Amino acid sequence: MLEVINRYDEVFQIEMDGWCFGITNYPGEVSAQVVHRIIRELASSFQAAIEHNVVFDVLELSTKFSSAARSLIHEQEIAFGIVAQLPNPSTLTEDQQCVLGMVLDKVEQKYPGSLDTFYRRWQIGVREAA
Amino acid sequence: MEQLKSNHNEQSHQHDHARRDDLQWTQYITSLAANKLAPPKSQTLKVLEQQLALLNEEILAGDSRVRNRVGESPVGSPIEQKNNAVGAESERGQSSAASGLAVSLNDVLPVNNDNGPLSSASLLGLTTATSIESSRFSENKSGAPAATALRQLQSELHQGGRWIEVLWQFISAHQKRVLDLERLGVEPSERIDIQVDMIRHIAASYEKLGLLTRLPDSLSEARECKMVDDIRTMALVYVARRMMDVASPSEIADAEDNQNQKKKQMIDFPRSVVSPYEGIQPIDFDPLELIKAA
Repeated sequence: MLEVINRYDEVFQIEMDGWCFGITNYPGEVSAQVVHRIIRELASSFQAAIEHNVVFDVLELSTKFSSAARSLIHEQEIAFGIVAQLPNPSTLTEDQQCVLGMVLDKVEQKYPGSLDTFYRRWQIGVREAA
Repeated sequence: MEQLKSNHNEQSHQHDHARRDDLQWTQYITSLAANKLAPPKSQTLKVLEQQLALLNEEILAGDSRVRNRVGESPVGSPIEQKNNAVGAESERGQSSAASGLAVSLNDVLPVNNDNGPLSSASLLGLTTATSIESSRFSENKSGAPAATALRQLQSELHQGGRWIEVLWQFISAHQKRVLDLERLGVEPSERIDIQVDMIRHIAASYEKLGLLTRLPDSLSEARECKMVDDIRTMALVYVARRMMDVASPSEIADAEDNQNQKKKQMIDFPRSVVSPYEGIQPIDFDPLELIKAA
């Protein structure tokens, strides 16, 4: 098991709790687009978490976001949204790829086939970059 | 006698007040047109505000052309159906609607030309649009069936019906700021006609510019950005509160205790002292007030 760098897991946890708190307590109606926009904004946090060896639970996170948004969006949609924001494995080091693999493993167990989808997507990204 | 005097004083006071309001309002609109106020996030909104400001200057100046613009409303948009229901007197001739539009397309040209590439494109587009309109209506005047021109115009407007509603919402939101037709003594039925007409003209000019299809996206995007900003503010407040909850200043300052020495080790914020991250404690504050303050 890789050691978490700089206790970033706590930072990550509080950041996610903060966003969930914001969504829950937002005085207006939160639309699905807004939640997706927030998830897109969190791309850098997900990347930082992986770079700091934090194996976060995408499913737990998606459940949390879904309940914060008053179940307006299905957990699976949020989970796939989060996975879509994860960095391309080709840009990561070996350790980070291992962390990413562990993160994705839980998603794959619950939603079989999701890994293939994103793998194809990353392949396209690599080809486009080349 | 004294009562008459006091009434007179009151009336003159009200008149002065209204005049002062008018002056302030005119100044506001002028500065808005000159982009001295906080610029809107979207360039499209900026252009739209300029056009609105110009149209309102016209109304303020009591330009009779604005009233002449009110013509038959195309069927399609619910607002315009409402307009049909309300405005019995809005049934004007087809030629007046046509000539009204021609005037408006000339009149809504942005004055300020320092808005970058989009603005230049806008100007170019509007000029083209104006020439198209002019040619169409000159043909109309020369004897071509007015109904054809109007039908064409209606179909164009029908395509932009959804956007007209969006624009209507936008203008309704800014109504107090940019419209004060009541003060000018315009009848309510006529007022709604003028407003719908203004929206229609702006929509038509945007359609000509090819910007119309982008307008709702830019509006909703700006709204979404604002919502995300608000949620981010609340998230930051949450983080700040958690920081305060997890370590008091005295605990952080206690440098002699080795245990505490470990606890006060900084990451991005102080390390917790007593089971800091188990469960989320409810935070007692009003998010609405926070957003207002922000």
